[in-house]
Amino acid sequence: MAKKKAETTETTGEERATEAPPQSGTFLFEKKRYEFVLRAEQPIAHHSANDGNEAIAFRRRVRVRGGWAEIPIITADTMRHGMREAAAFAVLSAANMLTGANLSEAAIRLLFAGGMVTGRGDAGSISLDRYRELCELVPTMALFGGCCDNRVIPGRLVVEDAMLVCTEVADDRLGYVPAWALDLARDGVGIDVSVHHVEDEQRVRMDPTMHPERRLLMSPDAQVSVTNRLQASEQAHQTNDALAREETKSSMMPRRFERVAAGSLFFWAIEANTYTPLDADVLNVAVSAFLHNARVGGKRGTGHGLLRHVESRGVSILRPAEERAPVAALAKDAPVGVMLRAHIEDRADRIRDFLRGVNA
Amino acid sequence: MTPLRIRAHIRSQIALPNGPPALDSLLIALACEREGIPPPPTPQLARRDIPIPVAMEPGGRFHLASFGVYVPEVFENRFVNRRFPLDIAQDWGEPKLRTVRINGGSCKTYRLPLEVMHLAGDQILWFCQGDPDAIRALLSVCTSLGKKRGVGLGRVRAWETDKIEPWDGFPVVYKGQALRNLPPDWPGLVNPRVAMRVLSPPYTDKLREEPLATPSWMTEARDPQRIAC
Repeated sequence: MAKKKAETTETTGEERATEAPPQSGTFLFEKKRYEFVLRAEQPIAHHSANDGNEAIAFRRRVRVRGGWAEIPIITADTMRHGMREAAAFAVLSAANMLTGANLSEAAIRLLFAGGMVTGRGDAGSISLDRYRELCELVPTMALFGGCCDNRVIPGRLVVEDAMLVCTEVADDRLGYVPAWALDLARDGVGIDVSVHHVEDEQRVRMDPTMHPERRLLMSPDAQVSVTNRLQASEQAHQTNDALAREETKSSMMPRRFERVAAGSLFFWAIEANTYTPLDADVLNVAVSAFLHNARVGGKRGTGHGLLRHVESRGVSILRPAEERAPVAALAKDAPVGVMLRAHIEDRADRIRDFLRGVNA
Repeated sequence: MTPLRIRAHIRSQIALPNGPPALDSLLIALACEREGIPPPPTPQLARRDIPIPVAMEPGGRFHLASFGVYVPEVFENRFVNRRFPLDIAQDWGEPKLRTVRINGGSCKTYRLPLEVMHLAGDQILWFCQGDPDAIRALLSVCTSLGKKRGVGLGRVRAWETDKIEPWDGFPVVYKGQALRNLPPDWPGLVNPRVAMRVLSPPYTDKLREEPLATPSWMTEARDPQRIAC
């Protein structure tokens, strides 16, 4: 077959993002793409599974030149959930609903986990008016999607895995990390192979009854019980009695886990369809609120998981182009959320009523 | 209308549990997206005439556009997780929210397996008779395909639209095999595999199922290069 003509349309094209016009309801279809370089300010303990007593870091298999590579990632689900949570708190704050514990189970489920198809309502007919009302009252629903009554509402947001910037993916032509992010990494901390970013750590949950001083805090009966168990444990070891050793062992628990070292850079991208300036503002609120204090993965209570925004690029994908500009929403003093707050404040009473009776 | 081959360069894993995406339904979805027609795609809404730049067959029953042609290379399993936000419920739940069941009911925590794949050549092909510029304009805003696009699956790196020389049966029959759901008596079909399928979008509308010739290339002609070249 003769190939007469070939034209390629890069999907990451673009014109500079436009400023929001004053009318929040103006129809203006845009497909926005934001790209970020994030730095792990703390080690990232984000695990996919356990192998024995070792927690394994999340990795994604990607095709690289000459074969495959397993690259550490922060899953898109984690990043998306962080955005959803940040946006939900923004809505609640604007509706003056963070003054006390007053959310129903269904409201929590809807705002923070996307809701649940409850089976109520007629599944054979979808009320578009009701859908529009829902998206008007809770603008984050339109962006993130979710379920309410008998409806599954598709979201308009595509979130990608945050991928470690490492040697395996350090080729712009592979399409995993764009050139600007690679240049930023090279000029900064440099680019290394992924295995050098992953540390193996061990932590131990101590058994307080093993500590003589803690035992002094116990009641006399408990002290006797613990002392007897320790003696039985020593006896079991001396006689090499496996069953007795198992029964009398302490609750000390060593465990190992992988983590991505602090200082590592991640590339992350999101895309969203926005139809009104309000949609765009909701997106900016979700992004900026999340990245203001982005914590991902486990062991957050022990100094893990903090991400910091380093650099960003935003484009509006409507026609192919190469121009990328820093995301205006992340600039200092950017007027992010003004439109959303005004929108929510105008409807605060209706939103409170809606969340009180929502079935999600 | 021009004979076209459309190629999507896929950058990541893709989840296609319901089989190959159909070009006509993809273009209809993109047209809806561009016009802001709200989801969900009910049969009534999707059946509405939404014009796409692809030729119809002479009888006007379906578009002259194939289903996606691809070859899976590597399969992987991942999981769709859902957890009820207990920490939020503890801090912000109303006083009468006293217990939450997470092993059943609306708050059930689940972890569902999802099979994803890498495609040979990281590409999906379609064939159609259409207007290349208008198709290109629609496809330019399509950046993901398949299921779970919201979490980065099926990311499209680039679209390629080529004019090609048509073959006998183009674009819906190739060497006697259906490249989309077709009436069993469609000219050019040889020993078609017939199953209950839907002829035109939405293909999920089970009420319109009828016996149709279905694509068998997934099992018999698994090399898209053979079709493409």
